[in-house]
Amino acid sequence: MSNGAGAGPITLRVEFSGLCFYMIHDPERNTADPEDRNRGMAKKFAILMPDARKTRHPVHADGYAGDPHVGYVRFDLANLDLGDTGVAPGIVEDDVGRPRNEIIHRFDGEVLDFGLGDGQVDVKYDLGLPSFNKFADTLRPIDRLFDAAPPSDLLMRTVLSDGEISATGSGKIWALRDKLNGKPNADPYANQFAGYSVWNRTLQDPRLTVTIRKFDGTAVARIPLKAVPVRGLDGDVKSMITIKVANLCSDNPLEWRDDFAVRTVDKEDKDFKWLYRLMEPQKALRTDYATLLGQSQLPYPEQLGVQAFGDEDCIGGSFTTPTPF
Amino acid sequence: MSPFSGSSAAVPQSGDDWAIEQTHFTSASAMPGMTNRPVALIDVGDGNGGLDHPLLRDRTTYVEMRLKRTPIEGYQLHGAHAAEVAGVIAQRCDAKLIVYDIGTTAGWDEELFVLALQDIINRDPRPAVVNISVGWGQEVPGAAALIRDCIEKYGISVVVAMGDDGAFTDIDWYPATQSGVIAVAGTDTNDLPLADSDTGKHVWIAAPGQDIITVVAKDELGTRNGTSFAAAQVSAAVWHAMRSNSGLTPAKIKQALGDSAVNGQADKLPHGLREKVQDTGWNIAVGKGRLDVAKFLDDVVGVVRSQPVVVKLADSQPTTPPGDFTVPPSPRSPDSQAPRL
Repeated sequence: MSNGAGAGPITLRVEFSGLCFYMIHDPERNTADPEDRNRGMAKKFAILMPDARKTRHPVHADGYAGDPHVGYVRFDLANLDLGDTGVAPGIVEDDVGRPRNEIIHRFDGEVLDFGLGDGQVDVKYDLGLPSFNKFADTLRPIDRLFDAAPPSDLLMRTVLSDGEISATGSGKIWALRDKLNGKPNADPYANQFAGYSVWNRTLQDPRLTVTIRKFDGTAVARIPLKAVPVRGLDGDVKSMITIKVANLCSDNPLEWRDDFAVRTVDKEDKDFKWLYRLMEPQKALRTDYATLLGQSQLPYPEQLGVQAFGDEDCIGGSFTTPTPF
Repeated sequence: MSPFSGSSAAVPQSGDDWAIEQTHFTSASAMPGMTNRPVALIDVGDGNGGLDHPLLRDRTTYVEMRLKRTPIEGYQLHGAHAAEVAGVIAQRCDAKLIVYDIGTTAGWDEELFVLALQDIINRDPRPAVVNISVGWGQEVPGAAALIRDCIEKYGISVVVAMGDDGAFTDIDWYPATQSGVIAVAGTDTNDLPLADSDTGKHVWIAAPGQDIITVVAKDELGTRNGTSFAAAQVSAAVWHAMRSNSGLTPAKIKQALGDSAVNGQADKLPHGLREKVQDTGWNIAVGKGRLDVAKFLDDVVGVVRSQPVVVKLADSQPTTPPGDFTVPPSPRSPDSQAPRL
């Protein structure tokens, strides 16, 4: 084929990295079970980004300031379906990789639409990410996150359909305090948490148009993409479209790790506090963050004990609900 | 059989893996084998599917240590660290792997660490090497004597990661600090000390610890950084040596690893760091230098590949070699004992 894609199924591979809030509608899952893993089949699976840019007020609900982040979507120029660009695709590895030629769109209150039918098919998920249900069960997502005029704290949202999304933690054990739980945890909420997730979906059509538009539907940008042969670290060559969606510290946010040091979380991930901008205390509690917290800080991943082995990117968080959203 | 042949098509091809090439692991593929004692890993996490990767699936035994104690403190730890470390070893040797998961959501468990060491000692066959890519800020009660027994009584080399909280910190990680173990630091793609690798007077050797290709999920390879993965490479090298010459003691192996290491990393450091490291053939950043498997195996096994020699098998081995294994028994030549400074 002239576009370089071979016959057979195409893999759409999207990495979500950093400050992402995963909203999951899964009526089958019992999040109250202490042995429950953050996995299942989601009727709806949405990923939202808090606006953590330097233009936002940096002080969190606990009175501490957060570092700025930038949210963006990155395409590999080799995937751009605008004739033969002559560029080779980047390496694909666990965290999608390092294309030499990148197309970046910085989010600014937008919907990312993969053009695959929002939420029409269940999404299999297995997320090694902190679950707000486990350590902050007094909270709920703020209203109107999926409206045409959502709260200003929302930078980006997207809804997945079909495929499998997974996030695997490694190395250090991170724990989150239970200050925002209705009742204290009997055991610490801790695990090896991940700094990114990867969504893989099989496509039959080697062409895909990704759309970025404002929440109100205006200012539409259409990105035509095509699958190209990509060689993975395992030596296998697959026809792929690779995309990275990230909300990362404004210190080497593109993670050009061949060129600069990549910032990783060390001992604590206070950037996690940005995620609380998309949450609020349950209305029935008639309270606010300040009352719930007292003098405490918003819970964030803290290294459990003294450990020196394994680092992560900024860690995202998830919220699972049996109620459709 | 090539050390890579048991790994199916998922093994990186030559030219892909800078660490394998730099340390000359490819030369180990020509090494004849005699014994096949396993490699034990004391690590954390259930692999999160990674232990089912084709590189690991058919040769790895997973031991969930959490179940060996009641009452259980904490839940099972879900994460890939153990599989990531195992994946580094699996790409470099054919060894059977025994993965002890001592992690729980309450922490890296000291008591389970001790239980794992006891289990390793009681195994038949005993592992040739134990890889420990975890650590504590203080000595774990009951562990020191078991580690000493592993090394001195049972011929099990103990390879330990130095830790990754950076150079010149106050913390020295245990069991990297214990006498007799092989404490491993990391190097980067420029063959310089890895920025986050711990330093200390207990470090013995270094190995690549940057962009190390390994298993990261059930059907996926990725790259990882840190001394956890540097240690895994040294463990694989030790396994090759033990497979070819089962009479080697951990002390001899350790000495040979150091003597064969490529030195000079400290000379390449910028002024300021160079003076702190004070390289005199050994230094606090990389110890005796960076792993070189080809030199190590040549020295420790004394292989003359063009003139293989059939060796007398060790007592514990079958009287008839399985197949036509041919291994030269000669120890290293006397002059090769001299440190390479």
